[in-house]
Amino acid sequence: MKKAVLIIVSLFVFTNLFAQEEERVLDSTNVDKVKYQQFDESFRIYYIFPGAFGDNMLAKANEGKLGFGMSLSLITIYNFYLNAGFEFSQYDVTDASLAGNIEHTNITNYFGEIMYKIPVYKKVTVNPKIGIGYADVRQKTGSKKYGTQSGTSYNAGFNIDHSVTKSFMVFAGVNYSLLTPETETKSEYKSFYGTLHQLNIVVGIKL
Amino acid sequence: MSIKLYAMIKKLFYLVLVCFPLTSCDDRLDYIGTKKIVFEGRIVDENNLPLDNIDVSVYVTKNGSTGGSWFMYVPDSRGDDDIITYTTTDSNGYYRMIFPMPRDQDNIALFINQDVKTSTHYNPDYSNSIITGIKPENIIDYGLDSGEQKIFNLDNQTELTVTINNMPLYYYGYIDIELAGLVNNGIYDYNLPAHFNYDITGPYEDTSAHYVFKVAKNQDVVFTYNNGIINGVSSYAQTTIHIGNEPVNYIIEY
Repeated sequence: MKKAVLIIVSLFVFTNLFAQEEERVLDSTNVDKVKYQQFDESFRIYYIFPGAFGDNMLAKANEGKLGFGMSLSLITIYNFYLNAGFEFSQYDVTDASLAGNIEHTNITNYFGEIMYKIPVYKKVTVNPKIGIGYADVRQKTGSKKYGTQSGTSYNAGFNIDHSVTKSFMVFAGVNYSLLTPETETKSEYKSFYGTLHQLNIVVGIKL
Repeated sequence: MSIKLYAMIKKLFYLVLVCFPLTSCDDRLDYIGTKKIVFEGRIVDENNLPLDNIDVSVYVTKNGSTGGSWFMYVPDSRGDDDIITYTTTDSNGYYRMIFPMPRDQDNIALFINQDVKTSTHYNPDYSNSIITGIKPENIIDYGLDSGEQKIFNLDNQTELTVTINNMPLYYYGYIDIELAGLVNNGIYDYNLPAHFNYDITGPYEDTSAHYVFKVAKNQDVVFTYNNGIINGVSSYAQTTIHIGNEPVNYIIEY
């Protein structure tokens, strides 16, 4: 959690450093050659259909239930966007012998990512992205906790944006996350609990 | 300038939304999410044949502020408990359960063919048992292999009554006993030298007690009982009882 906040705050500070850089260039040259542009902040909020695949606890002993995510564009450099955000995904435990007699496995993934915007049609862009973050895997039944695993997440995916108005877009996309939560167990099960492949389908809006 | 300030406030608002944490707290049984432990073993019948579709589960308890016996597998009323995992045996009688390690439990017990809320294949035709008193130090290399555990077909069941007479008054009718063998409703302690099956029905009189067990026919069981205290240490006597096809009444004069 601390790492996640640190990543997001660092990105936020980074953004504002670039904003100052932009202002300085404009003042000193007074020409319209801005290398780093500060676009309007774009804020995405989206619903997640959580999924998983592979030979791991998430795929073999859980079933995706629901989720939501948010991300914020911090800076843009040409068509590159630097985003920060988080995703929350909830799974129902389907095999108590592998995941415990627990109702839910919840994953919270705090991330930073670089996204590239590719115009396809007049109002449609395809945005591949790649990023890194910090994820918590928590198990709960109601409010009762059954422990947390945390570790680095490696993320990749793409969104397809469709502009409705100048400042409002709808989008859909696919996000893959390789989660590596800290795990102590017998060597033959270490990968099963410590290397999780998450595949989420997302739909949402961008403001 | 004001536009920049507005943009900054807007950004901060979004940042707060993004960073909003989901937190809660409680003081119930706690688990170590990073540590996954593996309980495995095999269930066979009295003829050493594997039994499939037998329910097996792990019961974890934590006593409340009133405390409780370390031996009993049931927590006190203020405590907390979980059937933390469950499964059924495969066609070769094997089972395997993996679950997060409890952090502050008072007891871990293995339920075999018990009719509990998570049971999906409880088999009333077979005996059941509980292995209790499992401690974290029993879990080696993140695992506990219970080996082969026997249960028996209740069609093959008879009754053993053990009566102990002339017990010293200071026992109040209670002494430690052990019964090793095929016993229905057996409660065994994982860490005692022999399997321990203790009485939950006695005592009946101050100087005598009798214990009734449902046992498999045609076996020898070993009955061990506390027969005194020497230099502050309990001493034990042991006797082998043959069980045939008929009920057995066995009398021990203390």
